[in-house]
Amino acid sequence: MKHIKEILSIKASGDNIYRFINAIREAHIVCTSQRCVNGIFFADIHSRDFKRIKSLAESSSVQITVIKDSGLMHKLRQYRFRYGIVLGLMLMLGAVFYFSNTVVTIEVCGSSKVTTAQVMAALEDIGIYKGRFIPDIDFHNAEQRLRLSIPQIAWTGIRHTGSRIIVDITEAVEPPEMVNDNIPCNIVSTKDAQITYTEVYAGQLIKKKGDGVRKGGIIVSGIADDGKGHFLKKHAMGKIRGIYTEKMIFTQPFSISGKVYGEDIQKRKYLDFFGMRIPMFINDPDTETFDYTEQVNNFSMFGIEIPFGIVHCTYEPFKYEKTEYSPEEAEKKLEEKASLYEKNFYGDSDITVLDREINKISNKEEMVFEVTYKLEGDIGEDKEIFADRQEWKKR
Amino acid sequence: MNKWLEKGKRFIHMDSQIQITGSSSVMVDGCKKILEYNDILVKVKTWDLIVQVWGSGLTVSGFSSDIICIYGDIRSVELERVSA
Repeated sequence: MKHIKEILSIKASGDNIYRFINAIREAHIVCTSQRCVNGIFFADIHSRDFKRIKSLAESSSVQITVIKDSGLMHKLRQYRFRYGIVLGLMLMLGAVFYFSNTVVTIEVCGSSKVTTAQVMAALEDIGIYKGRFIPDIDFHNAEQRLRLSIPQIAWTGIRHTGSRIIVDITEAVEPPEMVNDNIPCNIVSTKDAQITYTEVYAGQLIKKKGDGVRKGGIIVSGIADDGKGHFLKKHAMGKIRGIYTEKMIFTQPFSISGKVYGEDIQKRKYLDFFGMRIPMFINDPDTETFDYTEQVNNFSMFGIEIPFGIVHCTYEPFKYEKTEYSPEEAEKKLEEKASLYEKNFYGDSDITVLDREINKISNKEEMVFEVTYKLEGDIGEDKEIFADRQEWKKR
Repeated sequence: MNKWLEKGKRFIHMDSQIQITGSSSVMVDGCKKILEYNDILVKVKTWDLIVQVWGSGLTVSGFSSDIICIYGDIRSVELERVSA
């Protein structure tokens, strides 16, 4: 309190100094640090008592002078015309209010299959994004909407600590596929094929290794005879592999309209300040159509990433143009397509490409590859046995 | 008569009280007047006593009309009965 109130240090001198000192005391004026040195009286008083002290001094024929003015109020009064300080304080208070009540960072925890970008996009649709006023967010409603918008999410919890939104996610665990071995079924062929491998766990093998089978033909039967005139229906199980052919057609027009990328890739930078992007360039990219990618590099402080960094934006310009292909180029493209197809569909699966035969057909407009693949793979498929109860009884 | 006067003063708490804290402060309750005041001596008059506080670098703080606090390096406190 002593340092908050304005304190005046005064000096009094005159013939009736003791009269003045006693007058102060009798007037109930708070007067501290009183000392008398060589007949001169020094004391500290509150500024509000100065008028009374002055009148007491006049009545006692004592001259008083203020030698020092101190205290917080005095300091503040000195700065009352420093508008910069006032403005700075107001800006600071405004910044404190803004950063306490707006979303600055969003953290997604617990997601593995669902990507953070996916969650962020869903949150933006819901209304949770950087710069949003936090008291306006209905967290309970947002949790429900987020769960509905991404089906892979089983549970979600959204909370905030200061200006940071934390989204906790628990992903749904898909139940394993149940093999219902109570349902009677046969194993039939899915292709016209030659059987190369059989492994039967249940049922009766109809075709043996080396036999040919048509599409839909029974390979392992689920119906068995017990030798006493009874037919039993079982769930046939087994692994059947065979060699079969598959035909694929790849087409490449000689003239195609598509994206043609230019070489002048343009880069721009933004300063990301708590979600607010401040451009660090003067000219916008001078291209009408472009592919846009961005990368955010946040600064770190003491090993902790802070919501303050640089956004690197890349603009890759392109134009829609007609591209002409020569027969050689078209053939190369088709080979690439075929190779990509094989990689995608036969690369990781149990299917082995034994041989392929390419029939090239070319006309004025396009080149066509008719590729006949000779493959070896699984050909067995479960097919349920449907039977009329009356008919079975007759048997 | 004096004996009854003393008893009466004590009964209504008008008697002077002097509190000495170490050698750094003396509080005088019932101060009527400051008689002399410099950095080695503070002389105050109470109801029935003259209190002389001797020391060096003496300062006084007053917060009400009756109580004063004397701070500094206090050497001695002398009491003198006020002559009638």
